[in-house]
Amino acid sequence: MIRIDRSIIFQIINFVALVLLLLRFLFKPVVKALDARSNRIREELEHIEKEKQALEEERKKLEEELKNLKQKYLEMLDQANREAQRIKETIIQEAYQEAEKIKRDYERRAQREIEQVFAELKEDIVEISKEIVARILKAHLTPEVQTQIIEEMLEEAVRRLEAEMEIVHER
Amino acid sequence: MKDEERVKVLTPLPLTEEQKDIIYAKLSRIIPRPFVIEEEIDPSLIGGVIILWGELLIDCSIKTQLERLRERILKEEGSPYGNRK
Repeated sequence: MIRIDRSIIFQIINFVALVLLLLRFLFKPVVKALDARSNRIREELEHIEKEKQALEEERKKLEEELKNLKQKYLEMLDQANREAQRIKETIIQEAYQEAEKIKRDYERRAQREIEQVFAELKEDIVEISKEIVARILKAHLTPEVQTQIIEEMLEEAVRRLEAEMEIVHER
Repeated sequence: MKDEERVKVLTPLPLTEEQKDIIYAKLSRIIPRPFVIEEEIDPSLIGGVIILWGELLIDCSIKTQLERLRERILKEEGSPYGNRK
């Protein structure tokens, strides 16, 4: 027959009681605390994940805005270049037209001055020539030459007068 | 000689008889009455004569011919060296 020591039974009862007490007063609070901590960590992780997603969305949004800004910048730059080119061409065109106008004015003025100089020169030459011819004719005017001049020029004048008188008479 | 017309003749040289005859003969064709020639010396005429009869003036002087030639040349276009292109 098996002999069971009473002290062993008593120890077993103590042990079970200890386990029960530990379960009741130590393990449960610990587990509960661990569960709470675990939940808090999980919630924090979820919160971090949400923050991360929000940040990612923000980053994408900022990247999109940056892309749009770059596009807009390039368009504005292109427009500014076109405008600058247009202004440059306008300025060049206006400068060219102004230069042409100045050139034409100078040419006209020069032409007028040349014509004026030539007209004065012509007048001087004709006047001098007339004086020279007059002197030569005076020097060479003999009674014979004078007779010939009277004969020819007076004949022509008288013929003309006769013709005029005839016309008047016919009327 | 009250009825005779008086015709003034301006001339740079004194007229010879031959010249007076020529003038008289030619003027007789337009002056129907007898006339006398009154001669006046004007050296500025250069050559030829100017005849004055009443209101009629016949200018056959070289001076006037040269002046007309001068006016004609000055009226023409172009430079004294020819037209410029």
